[in-house]
Parts: sequence; structure tokens; C-alpha cells
Amino acid sequence: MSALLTASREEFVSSFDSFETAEIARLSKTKFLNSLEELNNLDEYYNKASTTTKSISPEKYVTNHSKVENFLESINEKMSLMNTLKLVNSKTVFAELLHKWEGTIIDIDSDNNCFTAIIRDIKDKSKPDEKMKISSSAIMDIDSDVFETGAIFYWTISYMTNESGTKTKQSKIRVRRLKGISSKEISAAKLKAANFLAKIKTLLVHE
Amino acid sequence: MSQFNLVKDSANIVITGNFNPSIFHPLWFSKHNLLPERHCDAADIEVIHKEVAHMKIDWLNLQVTHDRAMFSTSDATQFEQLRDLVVSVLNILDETPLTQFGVNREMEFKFEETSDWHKIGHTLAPKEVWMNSIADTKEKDCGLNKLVIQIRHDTDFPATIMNLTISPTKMNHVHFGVNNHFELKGILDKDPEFDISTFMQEHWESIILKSHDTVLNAVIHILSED
Repeated sequence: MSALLTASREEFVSSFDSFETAEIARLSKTKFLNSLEELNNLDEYYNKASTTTKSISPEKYVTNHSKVENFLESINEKMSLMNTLKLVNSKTVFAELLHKWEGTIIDIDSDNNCFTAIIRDIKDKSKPDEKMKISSSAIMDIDSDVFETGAIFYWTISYMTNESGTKTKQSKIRVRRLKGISSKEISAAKLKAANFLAKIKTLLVHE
Repeated sequence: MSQFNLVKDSANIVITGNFNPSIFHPLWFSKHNLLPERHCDAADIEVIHKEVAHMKIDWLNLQVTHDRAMFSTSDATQFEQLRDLVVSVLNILDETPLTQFGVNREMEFKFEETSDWHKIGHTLAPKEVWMNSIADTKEKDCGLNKLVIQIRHDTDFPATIMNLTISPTKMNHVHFGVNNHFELKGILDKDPEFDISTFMQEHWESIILKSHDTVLNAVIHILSED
């Protein structure tokens, strides 16, 4: 039984290390390591039960045995978590896009861990823009450096099929990283500014 | 009723011009904040050399030589990011001489019925002419292997040349490649102010959508014919 526990634990850690760079695994790793610490405590109970069964009373043996059972149950739960993570983190071989919106962040409410955005339907432009509140947790950790008021983001809902053929529905928000401005955009902005100035001057003359 | 599903979907942008492959390093993308630092750190580099740069950074596949740069992704949820990345690269390298560019979409459909799969090939490349041209050729001995159709849209500006490549990949699967080709010289002759970055931002979605719809309409048309 002890060998099984050791193998399972090694398997957990090596599996996590194998997809270290995956975002979800990274976030869940902390959670997992905390659980592992709890398991270490339970492991002591197991060792105690396996080495002292002959010298302890039947009541104590039952108690310790029950703790070992809980420990194994806990291992199974972690294995289940691992399998889920493996499914999520398996290399995506195909993304079937179901819907896509482009959004602009107009306000970030740090106290309530959410932000307000105007979203536009990219697939159906006849639909009106919508204002909505979205949890800041939806922003991926890797995009936290560009998550700010005024930023543009893309929100996609898709079916992701991984290497093992498992299909999962995924909602993903990625913040836009656009650098530089083209000469035509500068010319267009100058023209817009000139027109705006001309309008202001006209209004001032009328007043 | 005919059933078919999209099983692969990717997009790429190819630009021809005069590039310096050695600058296309994950650190360069990271320095300009074009991609998340963590993804750049974990880049899968095939080669970075003065002659060629070839790497994969998360969703991005990049291949650059002196005269050609190809940016691609096989993740349909990242198509806009692909556009943004190329626009950003062109804005940063705004002195780079460019000659042509292509906005491309690659799709693979799986047909549930083998008869539908055959129907695509039979309709696009009828066998009779080949069976009659070589004696004793049976129907099962010839079939579509690769076909390229060119559609010109001269009335559009800029004029688009759409090259459609159709090829079976395996049983019941057909790959459709759509290349939307643009010649910069002709475009700049007509509009010296033309700017690829602006064009990409304004027309990307319609080109990507049109590429998909062209293929889809053709497949539906073929399968609905008696």
C-alpha cells in the first residue's frame, strides 16, 4: 500500500511538472501542493497504522485504518483532479469557434474584482453593442500586464478538441497587444482633428 | 442528409519583402510586449540564424527567411491576435520593403458519408475525360489528388486573387486552402498611401469570413446537386 501511495505522489508531481507552463495547471499547482501537505500529515497516520497495528488496541487500529482509508480516498480525488487537468492541458489540436466578441474595458472595479466593458459581436455586426460586467478572474494571468482601462480584448467561446479527441467547451478572454501606429492612421487622426477643430471654430463664430 | 464537419482550421499571413530573420527572436517579441513574456520564455525554437528563423511561441508559428515571413496559427480563437501581431510587427519594422502579402485560411472537412467525399472529387474533377483519354482506365483508378482554382476580383480595391487548393488528406477528409493574394506594387501605383497595417485592421475579418464562406458555399452546392 505504501508503494502505491509513493508512486501516486510521484506521478502527481511529475505530471504537474510536465505541463508546468500551462496556465491552468500553474494556478492549480499551488492548490495541489497545499493538498499534498495535508496528505503528508495523513501519511503519518498511515505509517503509524501500518507499523503499530500489533501493539495498538483494536479500537485504535480501526481508527487509524479509517484514517488510511480517508487518505486513499483523498488520493483518488487528487487523481481525478489530475485527470481533469490533463484533459484541459492536453495540446489542443482543433478549436471550433462558436462565438467571438471584441470588447473595450471602460472601468475596472478592483474592490469587487470585476470590470465593465462594451462588447461587440464580431460574427454578427448587426447586433447592438452591449455593456456588461465581467469578473476580473476571467482575465488570464499572462495578460495581467496589459489589463487596463481602454484595453481591447477578444472573448471567444469554442469547442476545443485535444490530442486524445476529448471535446470541451471553452470560454477565453485574451487582451489585445497592438503596438505602434501606422502612417495612415496618423494621417486619419490628423484629418479627424482638423475637422473637429473646424467645427469648433464654426460654433464659436456663430456664438 | 449530408453531414460534414470542420475538423481543422488555421490562418496564416505571408508577407514577401526584405527581412532580417535573426531579429525574430522570442526576446524581441517579449521586449516589444507583442506576446506574453511567459510564452516567449517557453518558446519552442527550431532555428534562429541570419538566414532563417523558425519557432513556435504558444499559438504562433513563425517562419522567416530573407524574402518571406509567415505567421500562422492553428487555433481559431487566436485569429485576431495573429492579425494584431502582424500589424504590430509591421508598425515596428515600418521601413521594411514589402512586395506581396497573402491572407490565408486552411480548413479540413470530414464527410460522414464516403459517397459525399467522392462527390466532391467527382464534381470538381470529372473522371470521364481521363477515362476516355487513356484506354482501360477504370473509374476507381483515377481521382482528385490536388486541384487549384483561381478567382480574380479585379473590381475590388485592392484587387484580390483568391487561390483555392482542394486536396483529399485521408478517407472522408478534404483539405481546402484559401490564399487571398495581394500584389503591393499594383496597389501602391493606384494608392500611394496604401498601408498594410490599416488594411489588415479594416479587412481581416471579412477576408477570413469570406474564405470560410466560399468553401462552405461550394461544398453545400456540390452536395445539394442531384
